[in-house]
Amino acid sequence: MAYRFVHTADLHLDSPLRSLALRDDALASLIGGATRDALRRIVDLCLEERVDALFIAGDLYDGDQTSMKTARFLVEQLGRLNGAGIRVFIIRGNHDAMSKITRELTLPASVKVFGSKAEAITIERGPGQIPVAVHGLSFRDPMAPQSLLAQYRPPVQGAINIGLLHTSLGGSRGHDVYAPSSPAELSGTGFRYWALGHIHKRSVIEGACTIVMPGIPQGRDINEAGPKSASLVSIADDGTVRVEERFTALAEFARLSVDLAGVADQRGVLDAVERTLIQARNAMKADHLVTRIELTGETPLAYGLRADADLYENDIAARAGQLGNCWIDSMTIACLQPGEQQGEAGAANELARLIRQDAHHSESYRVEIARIAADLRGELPAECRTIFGDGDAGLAVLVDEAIRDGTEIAIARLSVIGGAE
Amino acid sequence: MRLQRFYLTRYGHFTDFVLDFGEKLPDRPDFHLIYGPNEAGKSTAFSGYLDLLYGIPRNSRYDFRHGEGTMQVAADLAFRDGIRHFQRVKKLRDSLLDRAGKILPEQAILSELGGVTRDQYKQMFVLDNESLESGGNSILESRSDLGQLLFSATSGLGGINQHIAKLHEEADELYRKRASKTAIAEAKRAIAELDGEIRKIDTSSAAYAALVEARDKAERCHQEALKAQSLARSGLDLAHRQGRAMGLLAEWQTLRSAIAKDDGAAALTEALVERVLALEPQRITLEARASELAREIADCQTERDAIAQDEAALSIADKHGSLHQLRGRHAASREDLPKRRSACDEALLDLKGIIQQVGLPPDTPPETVPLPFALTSELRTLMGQRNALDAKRELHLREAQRAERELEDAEITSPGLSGPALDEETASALETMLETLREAGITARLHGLQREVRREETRTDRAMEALLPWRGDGNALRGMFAPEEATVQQLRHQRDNAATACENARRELDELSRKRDGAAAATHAITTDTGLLSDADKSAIRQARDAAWERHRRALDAATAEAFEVVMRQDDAAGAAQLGHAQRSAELARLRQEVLAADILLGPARDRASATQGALQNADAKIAALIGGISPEFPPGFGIPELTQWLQRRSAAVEVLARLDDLRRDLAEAEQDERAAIKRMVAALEKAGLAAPNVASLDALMQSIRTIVSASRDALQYRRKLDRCRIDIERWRAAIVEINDDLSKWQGRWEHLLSTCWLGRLASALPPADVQKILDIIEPAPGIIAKWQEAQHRITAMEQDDAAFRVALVELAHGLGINPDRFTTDQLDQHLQERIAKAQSARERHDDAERRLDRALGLQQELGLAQSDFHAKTDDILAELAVPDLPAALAAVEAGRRRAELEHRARDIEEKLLAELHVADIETATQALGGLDEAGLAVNIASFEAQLQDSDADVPAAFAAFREARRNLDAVGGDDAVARLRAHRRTKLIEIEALARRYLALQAGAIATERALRQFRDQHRSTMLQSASEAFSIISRGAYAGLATQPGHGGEVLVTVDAGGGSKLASELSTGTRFQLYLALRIAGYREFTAIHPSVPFIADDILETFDNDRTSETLRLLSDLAHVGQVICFTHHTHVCDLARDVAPSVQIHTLVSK
Repeated sequence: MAYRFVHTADLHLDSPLRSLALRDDALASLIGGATRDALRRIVDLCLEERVDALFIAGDLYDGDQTSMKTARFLVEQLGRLNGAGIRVFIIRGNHDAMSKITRELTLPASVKVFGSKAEAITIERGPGQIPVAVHGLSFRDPMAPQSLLAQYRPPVQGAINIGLLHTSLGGSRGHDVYAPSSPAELSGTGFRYWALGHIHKRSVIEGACTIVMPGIPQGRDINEAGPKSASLVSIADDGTVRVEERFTALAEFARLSVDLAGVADQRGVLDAVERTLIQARNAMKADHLVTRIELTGETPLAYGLRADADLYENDIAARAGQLGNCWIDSMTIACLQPGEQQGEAGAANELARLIRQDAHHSESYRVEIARIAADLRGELPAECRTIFGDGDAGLAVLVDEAIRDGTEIAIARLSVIGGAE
Repeated sequence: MRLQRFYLTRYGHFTDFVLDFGEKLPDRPDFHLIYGPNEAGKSTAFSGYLDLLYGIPRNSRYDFRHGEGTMQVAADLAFRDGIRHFQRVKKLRDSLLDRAGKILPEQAILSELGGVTRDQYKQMFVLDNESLESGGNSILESRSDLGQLLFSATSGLGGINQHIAKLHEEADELYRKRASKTAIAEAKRAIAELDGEIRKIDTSSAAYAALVEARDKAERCHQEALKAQSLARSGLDLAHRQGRAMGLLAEWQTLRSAIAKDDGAAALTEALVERVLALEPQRITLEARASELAREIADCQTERDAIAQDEAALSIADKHGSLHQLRGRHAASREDLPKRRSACDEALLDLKGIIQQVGLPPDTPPETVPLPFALTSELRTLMGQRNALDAKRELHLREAQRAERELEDAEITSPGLSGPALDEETASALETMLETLREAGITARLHGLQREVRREETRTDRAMEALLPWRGDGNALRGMFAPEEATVQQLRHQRDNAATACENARRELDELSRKRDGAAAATHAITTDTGLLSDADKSAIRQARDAAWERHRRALDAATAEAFEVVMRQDDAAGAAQLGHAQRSAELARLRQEVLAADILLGPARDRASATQGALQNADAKIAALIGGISPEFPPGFGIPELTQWLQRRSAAVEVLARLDDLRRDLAEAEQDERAAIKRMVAALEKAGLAAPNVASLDALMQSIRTIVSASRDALQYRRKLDRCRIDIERWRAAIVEINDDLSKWQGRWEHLLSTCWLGRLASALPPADVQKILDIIEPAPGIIAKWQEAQHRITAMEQDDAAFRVALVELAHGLGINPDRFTTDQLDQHLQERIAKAQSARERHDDAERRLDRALGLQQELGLAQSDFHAKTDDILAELAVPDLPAALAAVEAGRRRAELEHRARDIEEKLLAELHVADIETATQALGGLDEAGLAVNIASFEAQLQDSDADVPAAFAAFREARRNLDAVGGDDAVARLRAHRRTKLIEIEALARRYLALQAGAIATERALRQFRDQHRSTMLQSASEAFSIISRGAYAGLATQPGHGGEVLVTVDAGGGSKLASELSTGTRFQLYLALRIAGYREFTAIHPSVPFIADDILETFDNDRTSETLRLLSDLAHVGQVICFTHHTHVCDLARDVAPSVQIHTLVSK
């Protein structure tokens, strides 16, 4: 009989979602607890599929998580598995290493949290079935610049060996290096399955050794866009591994681009956005879709869109609301005004040209804006100052962005006062 | 680009209206005035022009006459590379066409406009009262900022400053340093509040650990209390049970002995007891039932025999019932038949009416009235065609009449065509000449010079008067001796020097005399005061003393001695005085010295004084000689200063004279020019075959030529109009002939069609109106005929049904012996129905009695069997109990029941006893209770009760403590309250990020716009200021010299400079002057545009309405001047504006919009 388990990682319980869409109280109440919901769904999956075990390969919480309520919630959910006789194997990830909250909890009897010394737990199964050996190692420190593989126990002979490891693999954008390892090294251990965690994007390598990075089960911002899942794994006695992806997210983030070429009125804009939203909503794997919309294409509305971006965003949010389960994180406008390039005559066009030239070439202008930015930085809460990046380079990026957006808004508004007469 | 010819083909109330601006003539302003009274369609024409360039908007106001598909404007536009024809129709796309109707891209026009949009065109190249007003206001709002003003003037866009201010305002709403009402400040406050809430409800891991420990301790305490309580409770329980067991054992023993005594009673089975007790009730029931059945059987027999039967009626029941269909139809026809008959009559009446109305013979069968569809259809088509033909013919006739009327009107109202008819070339040549002359400004110069000469003559007179008392004419003045300025100055110097020297010498003499006199007076005063002697006196005394001594030594007598003594005393006194007044004596000596020195100097000083006096007199004599040489009329006392002033006045007078001479020369030249110009004009006129008018001045000559040219153009236009009218008349007349032909063809077909039906028989060639009427009348006929025939058919069918029903009923009545003739059909049917119903009812009651009788007899039989069974059963039971009768059996049953109850109670108590002591049998129980007595048990119970009371108090307290600790721990809970607050907090943080970015962008946008505006200012300042300055000076008629700039708040501001050199901020001007300034700026803006881009027509829409004549003239002059750089089209509804325009710009072309 096959050994079946669910593999997940990087739950980051109670780590808040980052989206301006959550300014809407209705949405905040719907998806504010999405990371919890993902765990609930994973536990439901274990119960429905009557699996043998749940593997959690690190990062139960964010490192700065201090609320015992979060840990209590975890215990409640693990208690459900305990009640159904499903075992749970957990290793601590870099974030957990920083967290103090698990230590105070009594976990149910069926939960195994690996310590900082490598262990191999052998699970004897029914007569005639091959036993399963689960290898794991937790790290006490939030940093692990060296590979941890050498510390793992050798494979148990005559058993199916499964390893749990929190690793950044070869390193990935947006993730610090943590217990680096390569697929080749992992394959070399002789384990049948490596249950990895740490990187939030899903990846699966199948072969003599199946290596799975399940990805975060609930994306937390637009940079973690797309469907999110856990893995339902089954290892047959002959060693055949089958990995199924099961979707777990309550809310899914998506970047959508809407081409407004040929659209000439406000209603057309809303219709085009609605079409794209419907398409995306039909394709989504979660219950709610949170989108960042980029408007593109050449349209006579480009200036109007930029000048009244907030009004348009409100209308689009209202349309999304009518569709149901669709929400707008933010909207950017990359549309071109027809003739914007060729309209060379006239003072308004000349002023627009001067504005753009100044924005691109004037050092004194940049210095002035940078000074305003620096003043502002000093007044913001410490956590917000990160938007200014590190030091002067970060400030420069922000200033560039402000200049680009601000000048386009000014030009658009200028054309709108002209057009309104 | 310029507008050469503009066609309002079908637009607003215009149809085929053309505005011809003609070709641009070199060296002439391209200046056009479109005159149209109110409602003539100036706004329509202007809108049509913009629609031509940019398309007719979907919701155009000008589609009231020519609808959606037919609106059209067209134009010949002069592009850089030649003339092109464009047509514009009203369509969503592909609305721009060339002459052949081929679709053109919008870019075909737009590229020539430099990508300027419709809105931009209106802002930049169109001026109306509204834009002037808002422009004037924008000057006010700009606070004179030069950059904003120049931008506003070139773009036509006001409000740039509000635009910038709005960006700043929006940014300020997001963030302001130290402000508490901004969006960012509010978000920060919200974060602080959330932090507080999180702190309030969250539990940290350390606090949690303490809670766990407290709970564990309370749990241990609770467990211990529970244990003590349990021990006490079980001891007490045992003692109680033992006590209760002792009582039960005694009772059990009593019962056992009672059972042993009652040994005789037999124990009966339960079943037997039940059977015995059931016998008596069964007997009673059986007897009652038997008597009831006997009574029922007798009743049923009596009832059955009393009912009589009607067999004949029953035999026809089925037949009568089968008539229901006929009966139904009979009932329906009773209702329906009268209606059908009246409908039939009505239809026939209607048809007769139609036949009569159309004039057919009354006996005409109605079926022949309707006409075939194909025929009526064609008739109707022909009628429609006829209407169209008539309408068209009517229209053509009207148009022809209109054209004729127009021609007549034109002929009647012909302008005085007495004037010469000039060809275009000659007219243009004359105009060019007029323009050249105007530009040469001969007349203006002449008049100017005449004015100047008069002014200079007056000045000359005044200058000559200023020379009095000298008298003489210009020549005398110029010829007279006038000393050089240098000579006069030299003389004045000499005299001044002499006077100074003389004065100095006198002053010196005075000074010396004063000093000497002072010293002498002081000497006298000292000697008088002190008795000090002068050196001579002292020396005289000494000599006298020495002489007296000599005398005495020689004499040595008393007399000499006395004499010596006197002298000696004198000398002593002098010496004593000298000693006593040593200081005064020294001063006296100095004063005496001064007097002496003054006396020495006085002599030469007197000599110098007299010498300088002589020199002064000499100089005065020279001056007098000079003045006398100029004129003897100068009064005495006329010195050098007066002479100098007089000489200056003379120079001025000489200058004025010279200027007058120059002016007179210029005037002569100008007069010569005028004569030459007149000669040229006359020559030109003669060349054109025109008699030169007899006029005195060039002005008058130009005016009369202008009149000639204008009249000639009017005549030309008039002739064109006549031609057009004639062409129109021809066209319409030809169209009428054509339509008459169509009408006669139509008539042929019409008559043929009529002849194919009864219409042809009614009259020869019925007119369409009559046929229409007939067709309308017979239109309902087919429907009525169908209705009529249907009614006839229905009536026949109903009558047949009624007859069949009657026949069937009569037959049935005969069977029952009834005379049917006494009844109507309905009555007969009713009668039969009642008879049958009665018979059926009797039969039913009879059958029912019969059935009940049978059932009662059956039941009586069954009862007999049951009674036999009962007797057998009773006998069996009595035998079993071995008793003789039923009462004896009941007594035996009662005795058995009593014994069974005693045994049951004994067993019950035994069970309870064993249960109390937890033992298996009575013997063991008896042993267990063997050693106990009641007193010992009571002591045990008291002891255990005390222990239990104590622990009962402890347990709840321990449990409460435990429960509290557990509740505290559970209160932490796994809920997501904190997580949700943190999520909310995170949202607030990213909201702040978004606000911060937005704030920066808005600031960047506002600042970039301000900077760009400054650059715009710097790039356009010099050229625009110059031309705006000139324009402003012109339009203000010189009240303002021009414009200048000065540093102002945050940049440079525009100031106006008035004729007196005073300056004022642009925003401080009066409303009217601000409009003028705005106009000047706009004109400069247009010049600026055309300096870089190809020009486009500049439109001024009735802007002169509120201007007085002077200002209107200046504005027209300005526009005419502007027309050198681009086409200027000016709409007006004032004729006087046309006159003024002709004055300031003779070559202006005036077009008239025809009133509706």
